[in-house]
Amino acid sequence: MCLVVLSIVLIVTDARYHRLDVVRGYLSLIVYPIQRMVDTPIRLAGTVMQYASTFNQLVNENADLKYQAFLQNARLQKLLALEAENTRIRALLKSSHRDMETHRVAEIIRISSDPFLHCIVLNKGAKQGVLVGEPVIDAKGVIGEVIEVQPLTSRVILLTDANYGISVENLRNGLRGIVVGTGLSNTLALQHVANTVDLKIGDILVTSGLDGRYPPGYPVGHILQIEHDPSESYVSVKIKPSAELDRTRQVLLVERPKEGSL
Amino acid sequence: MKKTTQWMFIFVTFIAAWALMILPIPNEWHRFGPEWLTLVVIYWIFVQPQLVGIATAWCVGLVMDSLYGGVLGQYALSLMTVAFFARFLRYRIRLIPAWQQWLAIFALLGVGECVLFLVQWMIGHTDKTVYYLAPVLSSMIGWPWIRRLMNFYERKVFV
Repeated sequence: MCLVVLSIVLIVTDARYHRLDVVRGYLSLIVYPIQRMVDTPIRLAGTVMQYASTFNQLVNENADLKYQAFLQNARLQKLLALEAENTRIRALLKSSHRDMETHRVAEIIRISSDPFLHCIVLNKGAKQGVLVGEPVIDAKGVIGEVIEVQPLTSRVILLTDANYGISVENLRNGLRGIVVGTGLSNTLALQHVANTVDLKIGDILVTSGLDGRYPPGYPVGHILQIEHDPSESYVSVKIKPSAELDRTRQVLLVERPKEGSL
Repeated sequence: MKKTTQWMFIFVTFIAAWALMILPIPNEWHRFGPEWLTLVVIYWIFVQPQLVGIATAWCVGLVMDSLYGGVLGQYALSLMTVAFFARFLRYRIRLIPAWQQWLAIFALLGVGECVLFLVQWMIGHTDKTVYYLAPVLSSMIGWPWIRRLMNFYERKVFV
């Protein structure tokens, strides 16, 4: 009976007041070996597969990567010039300049199997300087945000979680909106869009930076489907996330520039 | 056999169950993962009620909560409820035919999932689907195998 009370107290304090970080910290230390135990064989299998891949495949991949690196370097030159120009122009306009964020690579060690919570666990934690609230991206777009930091690991909530939202703007016309998760792994939804708003299928949505959590300009997704239902006051807009939420292994933690410089 | 060995064995089965629970399953299938941990707890309560009881179930559930990273205490509460009902059934379960045992397991798992769902519902995380009952079905398929496998080793350790 007292255990019932204890668990209800635990649930309430954790869900409503978020006061259990210390308990969580200790528990996560107990749990870490189990996570490693599950993760290591999978990682090993990956490594073995890599060794087993044929010479031909490697040569092809190498050529491919070189080509990509070449292209991206070329674009980067342009970007550097543009960035410098942007800073200069901003200086001329006497508006504060934006610092570029710095990135850090982390690896996904576990995907939450809880159907009510879309999150992943990364192999970097407080010891490596990860902070709660840091945005997480992959090569193609935004993945989510760090919600909990343990000494050796950190937990990231995904965009697709039904309780998560992110402020975006349409790259084509600067229209702002809020994208929320749907609980499905490959769909997001744009909330409260009036029937008359200018949206097209294929429009790319990027972070607006107005939520104060994400730096502006990272791709979130593109519009997949727009449904006008006359009986509803809002349009239902389906969005496909840009990031490969169910495929990536490596992600980038975005270190935000110091407060106030944005 | 010594008590510590028996405890060690039980602990190893729990570790295996935890590991199975957090095994990464591809996205579309992860709702259908069996509740290995609940099955193992039920098994031990039927077979070794003097060693594994409600308190053990609670502790095991708390660790599971931490592994899942959800709200602390939900799994503990669910497993404890299952353990509570399993203790009622533990004398009867050996006397009834196998298919009725199976039904009993079905009911126990259902209770566990419902408690989980209730907690989720009260703190406002609902998916509004009936998928939360999906693990019950997959666990039903898992139960005969887990029982046979554990029976095999249990005879060696506990006799």
